[in-house]
Parts: sequence; structure tokens; C-alpha cells
Amino acid sequence: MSPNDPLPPELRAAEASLLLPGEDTDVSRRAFLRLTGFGLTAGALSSCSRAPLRHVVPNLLAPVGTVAGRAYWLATTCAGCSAACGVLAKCRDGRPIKLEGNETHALSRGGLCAVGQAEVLSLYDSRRFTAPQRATDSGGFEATTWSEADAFVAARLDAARASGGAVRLLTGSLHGPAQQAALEAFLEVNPNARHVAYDALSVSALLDAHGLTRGVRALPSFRFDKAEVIASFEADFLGTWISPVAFAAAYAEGRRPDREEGWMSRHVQLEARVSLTGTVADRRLRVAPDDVPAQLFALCRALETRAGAGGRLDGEVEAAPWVEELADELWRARGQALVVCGQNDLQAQLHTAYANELLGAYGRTLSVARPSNQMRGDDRALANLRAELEAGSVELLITSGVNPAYDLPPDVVTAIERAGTHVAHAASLDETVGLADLVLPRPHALEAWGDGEPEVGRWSLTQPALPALRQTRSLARLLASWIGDAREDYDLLRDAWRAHVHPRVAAGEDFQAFFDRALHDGFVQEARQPAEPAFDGAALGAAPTGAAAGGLTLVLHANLAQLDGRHAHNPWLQELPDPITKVTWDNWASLSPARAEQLGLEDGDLVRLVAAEGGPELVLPTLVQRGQHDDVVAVALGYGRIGTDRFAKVGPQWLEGQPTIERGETIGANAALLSELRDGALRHQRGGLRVEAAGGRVDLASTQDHHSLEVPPHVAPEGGEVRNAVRAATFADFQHDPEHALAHGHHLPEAELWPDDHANDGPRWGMSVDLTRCIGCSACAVGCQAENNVPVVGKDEVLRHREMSWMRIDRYFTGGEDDLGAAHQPMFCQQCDHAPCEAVCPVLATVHSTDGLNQQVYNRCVGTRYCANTCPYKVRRFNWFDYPHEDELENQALNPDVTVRTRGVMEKCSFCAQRIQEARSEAVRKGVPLADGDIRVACQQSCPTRAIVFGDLNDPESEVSKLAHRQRSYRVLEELNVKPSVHYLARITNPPSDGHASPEAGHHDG
Amino acid sequence: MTVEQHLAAPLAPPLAAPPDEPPLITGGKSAGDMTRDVCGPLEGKPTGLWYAGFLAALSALLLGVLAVGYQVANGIGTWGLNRTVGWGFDITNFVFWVGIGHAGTLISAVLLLFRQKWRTSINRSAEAMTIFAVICAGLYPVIHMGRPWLAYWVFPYPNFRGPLWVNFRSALLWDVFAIGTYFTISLVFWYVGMIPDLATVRDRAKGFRKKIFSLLSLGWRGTARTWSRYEAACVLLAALATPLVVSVHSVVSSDFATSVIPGWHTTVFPPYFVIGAVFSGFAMVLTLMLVARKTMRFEDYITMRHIHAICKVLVFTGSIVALAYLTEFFVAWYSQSKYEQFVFLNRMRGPMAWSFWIMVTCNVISPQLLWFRKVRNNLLLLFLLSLVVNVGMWFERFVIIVTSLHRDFLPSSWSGYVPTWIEVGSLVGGFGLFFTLFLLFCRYVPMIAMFEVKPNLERRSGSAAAHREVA
Repeated sequence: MSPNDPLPPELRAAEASLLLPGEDTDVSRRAFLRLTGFGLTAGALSSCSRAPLRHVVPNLLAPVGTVAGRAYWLATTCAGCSAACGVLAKCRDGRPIKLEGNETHALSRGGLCAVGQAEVLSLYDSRRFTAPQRATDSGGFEATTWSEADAFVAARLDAARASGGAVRLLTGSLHGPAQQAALEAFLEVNPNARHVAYDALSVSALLDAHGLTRGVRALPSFRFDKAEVIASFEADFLGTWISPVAFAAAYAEGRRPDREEGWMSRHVQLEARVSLTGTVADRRLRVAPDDVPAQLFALCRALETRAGAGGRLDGEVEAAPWVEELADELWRARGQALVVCGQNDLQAQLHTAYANELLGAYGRTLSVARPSNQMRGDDRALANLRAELEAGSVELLITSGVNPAYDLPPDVVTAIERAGTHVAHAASLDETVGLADLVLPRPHALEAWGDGEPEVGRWSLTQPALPALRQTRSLARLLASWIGDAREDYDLLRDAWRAHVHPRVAAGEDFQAFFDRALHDGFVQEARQPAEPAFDGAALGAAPTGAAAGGLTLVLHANLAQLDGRHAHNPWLQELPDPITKVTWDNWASLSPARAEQLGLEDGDLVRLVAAEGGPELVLPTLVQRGQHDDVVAVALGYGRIGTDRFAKVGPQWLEGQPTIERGETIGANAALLSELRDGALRHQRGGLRVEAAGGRVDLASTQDHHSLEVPPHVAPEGGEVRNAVRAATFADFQHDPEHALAHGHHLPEAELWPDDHANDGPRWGMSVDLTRCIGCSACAVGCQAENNVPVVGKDEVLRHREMSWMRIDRYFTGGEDDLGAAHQPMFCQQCDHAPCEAVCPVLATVHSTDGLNQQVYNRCVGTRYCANTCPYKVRRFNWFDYPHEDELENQALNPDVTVRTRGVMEKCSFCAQRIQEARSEAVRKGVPLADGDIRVACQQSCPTRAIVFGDLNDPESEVSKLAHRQRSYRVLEELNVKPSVHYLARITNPPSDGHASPEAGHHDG
Repeated sequence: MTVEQHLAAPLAPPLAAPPDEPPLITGGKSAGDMTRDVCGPLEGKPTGLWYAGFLAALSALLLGVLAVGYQVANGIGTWGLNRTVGWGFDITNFVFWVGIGHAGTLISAVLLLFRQKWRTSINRSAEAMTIFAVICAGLYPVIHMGRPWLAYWVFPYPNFRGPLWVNFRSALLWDVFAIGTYFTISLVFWYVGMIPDLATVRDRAKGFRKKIFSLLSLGWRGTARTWSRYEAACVLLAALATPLVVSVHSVVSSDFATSVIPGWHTTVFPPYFVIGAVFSGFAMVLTLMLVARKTMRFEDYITMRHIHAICKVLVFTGSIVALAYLTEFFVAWYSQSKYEQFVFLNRMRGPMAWSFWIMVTCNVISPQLLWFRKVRNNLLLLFLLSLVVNVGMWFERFVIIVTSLHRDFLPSSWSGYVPTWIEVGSLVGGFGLFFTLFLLFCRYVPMIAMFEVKPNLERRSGSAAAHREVA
């Protein structure tokens, strides 16, 4: 029945039969009533069918254990970056709707970062290739079939094999037995083929350094949980470096200031730009990036003296004043100390390795006995490939899952164009695909079988959570098919696991049982503990020579949401505020306040960055970043991706609304254009940068305008200079006298003027947020967005301060230019017991539940916004428009348990009411009481550091109750007596107290 | 005086003007002159000035209709509001217009009870102003809703949703009752107060107009008994309306005073708002009267004495407004609440300080000029001053609403507020509606309460009763 047809034929006939009886001119009362009844029914029926139903096919045989409308979970592996964290895919009605960390996973331990949370949306990206594409002469692409594509590749491979022409396979870091097996088989059949792996955010020098000192080119696995003192040189290990989720989880183990638990690690960050890791460090010092290798050398020297070792270092550097003190700190904690360095520079990495060796760190806080596979890229091999390509000797180039034409220096891009034939294995149109002769669609990790081995001896499985949405093939299957192996992914996987994993993990067990268990758990590991290879210091030696190129130093860095740019088409990640600057939808050139003032630049002013005369240049808006080194310009990678103008109309369209991006332009600019592949390493840092005003300005859409808890001095009342939303103390003070250390504000009288107007005898839901553990990684923010169907609103709306996020991270800088830190404070509805919002709503659209929740009733809301005005935390979000939901494929990622709100209604954090309800129903069904921990809200689940705990405040035994009674527990704005249900645990930092590595000492470089 | 005596006393006893005051009505008008002067404009063609004004008002109204239509069709997002500042022009306009209304009720009810004769020339227009201002005021809370088509949910009507009731704790709900009551009483009072004059118009009218005015005048015959009862009814209605002068704006101020936001959470708000309302209302009366006496040639009926009286009210209420501002600052300091102190420092020196200083200049400094007789006699300056006061009073509400909201407790949420053109359109539309209605009122209804003024005419013959018979 078409919605336009008011009456179906049968009803029309019925209507006619009513009209036809003899007395047709004189309608009786009964006939009239009947007619009216029919008319109303017909009208109602026809208007009920809003959209035609399609393809409603019942499950003849329901999959075992699935119930329509109830979620089931599949253990799989995240493919958002190469860290391969363990995830559980929450599926409803045959499709994944949310990814959550797998708590039994040995590395990621249940957390999942912002990128991982957003992966589910990438699955439903409507721009993914539906079929193989062949380049046409006109420069476009036309769809082709897999058989034709196979024939095309087979012909090229055969020709190359016959002529001995080089075949090069360029991929990211590959690990996982099935992939490895397929790759090895392919290389065996094609002796002229070679595999080159690279990481756009390369740590190749780190691997090379261990190749030179340990005889095994491997990435050490880091054990931040074992480290009492951590010295990090430019390594953003909590944000973007190698495996941030696992590192953050481990790091948080050392952030336990409470007496009950007792110890706290000390983290010193030495960096030029402001990284997320730097803001949470106990002490952050500014170091010029060029100076890092020299200072690492000086540190090794100082450690050598303390160790009584010597003779391995040659030459002299000018040591910074803090080096001796840092060496003392590290030496005191030897065996439990760790030095990491984020620079992709061999000298720096060699000295880092040596420092760790001197500190006895190997085998304790880091290990190469069971190295990591998360980054296996080899920049030297990449440089060789560039040479081969430039020489025109590569007959067939196959790129898979990488975008070298975007994320590598421009000379590599030019070289790629010289490949004889270029086959790109990619999910959607990108810069590399644009250069290819043939495009093979690549599946999303959630729709394919696969595996990974993020650490040697630790394997994880990837399983499809829904039938493939597109005609795609995995790399393993492609490689197999090209050598005539017709096995599908599942068989390739099983065979590889039977051969490689099963014997090492559970040799005695039946393979099927083992595989089922692995599939269920998503993760297996072997028990064998290999020995650390011995240290060889022969490669150490000369002191690094400080490259003083003059001018400023450009530092290109990964941004937490975009990483190397592969997630540029994910709107959740584009709108995720950068954790440091809170800017969305753009990248920028950040300058220190002093440098910006000297250049006469302000936030938003366009600047031109010229690294080499005649070379590529970047034009970006300025962002003045306090705490940054004065000689550095920092730019985030991962922007300027082609096709990002698809987000032109991502937000509401109206008279004064501005597009998020102009058609034909890109979001941000590609900073990789200024990177270099030099001296066997991919360099994201270069000196001699020229910075000049380019004229004009661009507004950066930031979700936070005021960046500290300090009230601007000219409007600050006496005694009210600093707001007390974040309470903080040093570990030493807190240990000494907790009461005094945190005595902010006043103690409130417990007396009440009115008896409790909503007593709750049952549970009272509450939360505890540990500001010592929170690192601001924003995983919770995206987790919340995925769980609660929070819309994306676009740049213009963010500029108008109308972002819709229910969960935001308030970032308040602390300290000055030389010791900048930041408190990251997750902020969401505090579910007040005396909620100001509830009192003011004229229509009772926001009311208190018996279990202590502040409920928002969307369909009762008339949208006066009175509640939002009167909310002291400003956590309520109003639907200013009907936000676009036209992309039907993208809508598959919506959570069916949560209403998609219409315009004109207020919304806010609900404490994941749907999860509470689900857990309750489940408990009722099983006839058992609800236990502490049965309910895990979305933000809590995603938090890598376990900073968020949810539970029943009325249950004295619940974890949240216990946390709420800790000494450092407080509630934000509790002096208002709104009785929030969210308890924050004060931020405790552990800076060196006796002048060690103090900020005053860090001046030399500035 | 007993109630009976009070009711029996003539409504406006003829009193000689104090010797030092100029007469209330000048030009030696007779009752007949007055009837001709007041009814004449309703019977002939309007002046070009009227047409020009009406066209301008109608254009502004049309702009407002377009702006509001666009906003209702697309969402509140077409306004410049944001997650921090949830109210801007919308509620500013609402409070502004409610305030404007107050002078009308004060003049017609309170001054009636206090037997202030000078009110008679202006009370009809002032009441009309009240009605139109309340209509304008009532529109904004409706259109400011995210889903205005559900606005009726704010009424506690019987329903099948539970039944689902309204929230009696919400000051917005109190507004619904306050404004509803105010509008009803004002309308009835205004209409009842017009009946004798409508009868006068009826008596002069012919044809279709006669039919209309016959209907409207409810068969008024002007017998002594009718007059007696009529006057009793007027006094009763005045007594009913009087508490509204205090209650309505007190309730409106509760929107702010009952909330937890610093700058809103202020106990002095009810009297502060009431006096501000009277202040702005009288300024609007002054504006309208200056225009009306010029365009309708009512100089003899709205004389300098009226204007001086309004000026005195303005300087008096303006000074209380200044005192209210000082009290707010004092309380902020005395409270020792850092948030409260911050709000006031931020108003004076923060990013929106300009709006605060506009408010102070217009509301505190400018009315003090009215102490000078020269200023009071300069009609052009008075006209400008009356506009300035209303600009100031509009900004007072803007300052209270926006500067309190834009920087509250958590610095992370601090933001600014810039209105969109759609919002400006809705502001202009409010004035368009108001002046359209007012100009229609000038054109179709006797603008001056003839039967009330006539006793004040300088007597040339007969008594007040005789005048009535002539009328």
C-alpha cells in the first residue's frame, strides 16, 4: 500500500457497498456512523504507514543464543590502529552497534580509545567501495568484477615473474599468523616480490636501536605498570604512541595515591610541544626537539657515573641543568625506572636503550624477550623502495591498507607514480587510490575474519560481526588467491592457527575446542617466557651533534583522533575535541605565546610554514598554545584528507549556517607534505622552518573558550581568583596531611531545611571519577556518543557553542609556561538529588526517579531551556535543529535502545538508563539481586585507566560507595547543595619535591 | 470612608487645579468641543502621518512574522543561543514587554484609587498600551519554546496522559498564571472603561459603524442608575487590578530569583522588577503621549501638566531603580559569595560590559536630567529621553539574563552570545505588532476617556452632571 493512496481497494469497495443500499439519497444515522467509522479507520490506517516495509524476512532458524531485541557480544580485535586492542562487538539484530574493550584481554585490559569506539561508524561508511574499480583513461574509475580484477593482477604477476621484474607489496605493520602465512606463501611463489611495511607514525628507529644493541630488530614491550619513575622524551604514550590504551591502563596502575593502596609513580615528561601525556605528567619540562638526543646522551653519561660503568660514550654535550637531578630520580628507582623516547631518531633511541640498560630496566619495565609487533615498519626498507621506484624498476606495486600518497613525504608520492602498475587494496577513495590502476575493496575489520599477534606469543582473533556489506576481500585471501590458493579467510585462519598457534598454546587440547575457546575469548597467549637477549653497546659512541638549522623547528605529531589520517572520514572523530586545545574539525599551527607575540599572530591568523625554499608549504590557522617550546611550531598530522568535503553539510542547514567545509576543500591541511624520509628514518621534525603571516584568518571551532580555573584578574573578586571545580594536591602533601592538602572551600552543614523530598530506599546510582587517573583521552566521550546516539553537528555549530556531547572533558591548564600541566575533568550530568533543573521545568519533563536519577522525558519536553540555564554544570544539551539522519547506512550504527531526539527538546547524560534497565531486567529474569558491577555505563566501560566507577551509593559495600568515602573524594560545586551523585577524587600529582627537575631548572633551552 | 461612601463618591470629583500648576486641560474646551476633537479622527480619513506610521509598523510586524515563521519552521538554532546562554532576546523581550504593560495598570487602577485627576487624559491609551504590551510579551515565551506547537502543555488542563499535571514549583508556570490573569483583568478593565465613550461614538455614527458600536457599547444609555453602577464596577475592577501591578512583575522576577545562577539568585528582584517595570512603562507612556498629542492634535487634552506628572514619576522610579542596582552590588559584596561577586565584576568589566554601561547610562543617569524644568519643557529632548529609558530598560533585562548566564560556575562552559538576524527580526516584529495595534487603536477607538476628562474641563457653565448629559 503506497502511503499516497488514502484507501486500499478493499476498503474502497467496502465504502462503496455502504453507499449503494436502496436509500442512497437518505443516509440513515447508522449508515452515517458506519461510514464515519470506516473513514476514520481508513484514514488512520493509511497515515500509519510512514515508510514502506522492505525485506522483512524472519529467521527460519534463529542463530543459537540470539533473541531479537537483545544484544549479543562477539570477541574480536580493533583495527583502528596497529595496536590491535581486544574488543567486544555489541550486536543487535544482526549488526554491530557498539565496540567495547575486552576486559580479559591481556594488553588493553578492557579499555578502548576514542578511535576504537568510533570504528563502528566507519563500518557503515557509505563511501566505501562496493566493487573493484579499474582506472579509466580519462582519469576516473569504473567498476569491474572480482574475476576481471583477479585476471588483471594474475597477468601482471605472471609477467613480472617471467621477466624477473620487481613486485613490491607495501603495507602497514602486519602481524597475525594467517596474514603472515599467506604473505610467506606468496613471497615463496613470487621470488621477485618483496614485502615492505611502514608505519606512518613511524618508530622505526626504536626498532633499529634494538637491532643494534640486542641483535634483534624488535619493538620492546613496555610495562608502565612496573615503573616507579618514568622519564618520557617526546613520547605521547598515553595519547598516540604505539599502543596508548594498553599503556594508559598500565600507567594507571602507578597512580594510586590513596592510603588504602599506597604508591604513586613519578612521571617526568620532556617535550617541546604540549602532548596529552605531558599535561598529566608530574613534571613537564620544555626541551627543544633538536636538543633531545644530546640530553639523552648527557643522561646516559650521568647514569654511567652512578653505575660506575663507563667507556661506551664518546664526546661531550652541554647537559641541561635538570639532567643530573633526573638521573638521580631514575637511579634511585633503578630496576623500576623507565626511559622512553618518541623521536624517530637512531641516536636518540640508542641512548634511550642504553639508559634503560644502565637502569636495569630490561626484563622489568620493558622487554625485548617478548617484543611487541604493534609497529614493525622499517623506514630503511621504505627508503630502498623509494630508490627502486625512482629508478623505475618496480613493475608491480601493491599497496594494502596504507595511504602512502598521503602520509609519506612528497618525494615518495612522486616515486609511487613511477611504478609500472599500481594495485591499491583500500576501503574507500583516498590519495593512493587516486594513483592506482586497479582498486581492490578491502573489508572493514568488523565484517571479515582475521587475526593479530600484537605481542609475540599473544594472539587475537578478528571475526565478522555481520555479513560483508560490500564485495570485499582481505589481504590474506588476496595473497592466497594470487598464488592459486582458493581457500577463504576462515579456512586460511584456521589452518594458520592449527599450524602456528595451537601447538604453542594448547598442544594437548583438541583443536576445535581450542579454536572455539579462542573465538569466544578473542585472545590467547602462550605460557613460555623467553629470555632477554644480551646487550651489546658497540653501536653506542659519538655524542649527537646538535643540528642548529636556524629558524624554528617544525614538529609534526599525531592527533589523538586522527592519528595518521586514516580516520578522516569518521565524523565522530572529526568532531571530537582535541584533548589539549579542544579544537574540532581542523588542524592548526601551534606556537608558544612568546613566539606568537613576536610574530604578531593571534589565534586563527593564517600562517604560511615554509620548510625549504621552493618546497611544499602549509597554510594553517595559528593557535597559541601555552607551555609549548618557543622555538617550535607544532602541526597535527592526519588532516587535509581528500574527500573530507563530504562533511560540507554534516550539520544543520539554515540561513546563517556556514558549511563545515567548502566543497572541493579539505578539512585541515596535510602536514605530511613537510615530513622527510632521510637517513633511514621517517622524520616528522625538521629545523629551518620559516613562518610568516599569510593574511586572513580562520575561526577555530573550540568547545572551550576559557582554559584554566583562574578567573581573569580584572573580573576576579578577592579570594575568588581560582574556581574550585578541580581539587588538587601533591602526593607528598596528601600523604602527610590529607585533610589539609585538600581543604578547599567549606564544610557544609549536614542539616536540611526540608526533609528529603525524594527518599530512596532502593539503589541510588552514583559515580566516582578519579581525576588522578583521568588522562583526558576522550575515549569516554566517543563511547557516550556511540551509546547514546549523540548527533554530529558540524563546525559552525561548534563555533556557536552548540556541540551536543553529553560527556565532555573539561581541561584546565595548571602551572606556567615552564611547568604546564592540565587537569582533565570528565563532566556530564551530575544527577543531583536537589536538581535545580527539576524545580524549574513547567511541564515536568525532567523528574527524579526513585533510584536517584534525574530523568529527562523527551516526549514531554516543550523546550523552554530553563533547565539548561539553571544547571550549574551546563551539561544539558538542547536540540537546536533536527540534525541530519539521512544516511541510512550510517543510521545502522544507532543504538536501538536509545531514542533519537527530535528538535526542540532538551537532552543530557542519563547515566545510561538503558543499561541500568537492561541489567535490572536481567537480574529479575534470573531471580537474583543486582550485584555491584552488573551495570557498566558506556563511559566507564571505555575508560582505559578505570577512572570512572558506577554503582549504588546506598550500598555501603559497592565500589563507588567506598570510593565516595575516600579522603580525596569531593563533589563539584557541592557548596550549592544541589547534592550531585557524581563524586570526584582529587587530582594528586607526584612532582619531584626537593627541587629535582624543577621548573626553574628548565629555563636553559627557552 | 466606608466602602459605600467610596463607591458613592464621584469618580473624578471636579477639583480646581492648584494655583501653581498649569491647568490640566487647556484651550478653553467645552464638552462638545472635546467630543468633536476625540471622535472626529475616528470618523474622517486618517492623516498621512498615521498612514506612514502604520506602514512602518506593519512592515516591522511582517518582518517579525517572517523571522518567527522561519524560526518555528527550522528550530531555535536560528537564534544565537548556545549551550551556556539558553535565553537571549526571547526572554529579554518578554520581560521588557511585561514591564511596559505595568504603567497602564498603574495609571488606570492605582491612580484611580488615589484619585489622581491627571491620569484621565492618558489612562485610556496607557491601558491600551498595557493590553498590546502583554500581547507582545505573551508571544515570546511561546515562540521561545523548542516545540511551540505544544505550548498548551503549560496549562493544567484535564487530560488522559496519566493525567499528567504541570509543575507548580516552576516559576515559568507561575508566569503562565500571572500573565494570563493580568491580560484578562486588563482587557476587561479597559473594555468596561470604554463603554460610555463607545456609546458616544455610537451616537455620532451612521450605518455599519453604528451597528458595530451599538454592539460594543452594550446598550449604554447613560442614566443615573447606569452611571452609579458603572462607577462602582470601575472601582471594583481597579481594586482587582491593583495587586497585579505588584504581583505580575514579582512573579516574572521569580523566573530568575528562584534559580541557582549567580546574578539571577537575588532576593531583591521582586521589588526591583516592579519598580523597573513602572519606570519603563511610564517612559513608554511618555513616548506614546508625545507622539499622540502631536499627531492627533491632542495638545489641549494631554497638556504640559500631564507631561510633567509623568516626568516626576520617571525621576522618582528611575532613582529607585538606581537604588536597586546599588542594592544588588551591595548584597553581592556583603554576601561574600565569590560567584556572586564575580558576576557583578564581570558585568562591569567583562566581555559584555558594554551592555551594562548602556544600562547604567540610560537608566541611572539619563532620568536624573528630569529634575530640570528646562528639560521637562523641551518636548523633543523628552521624547529622546523616553526612548533612551526604554533602551536602557531593555538592556537591563539583557544584562540580567545574558551576562549572568554567559559566565557561571564552571569556566569550561563560559561562552558569549551574539544574536542572529532572525533574532533581531523577532525583536523588531514585537515593536511592529505593538505599534500596529496601537495605531489601529488610535484610529478606531476614542483615545481619550472623554467621560472622565470632561469633569476636568474648565467649567464655563453647568455642573459635571450637565456635561455628562451633553455627552
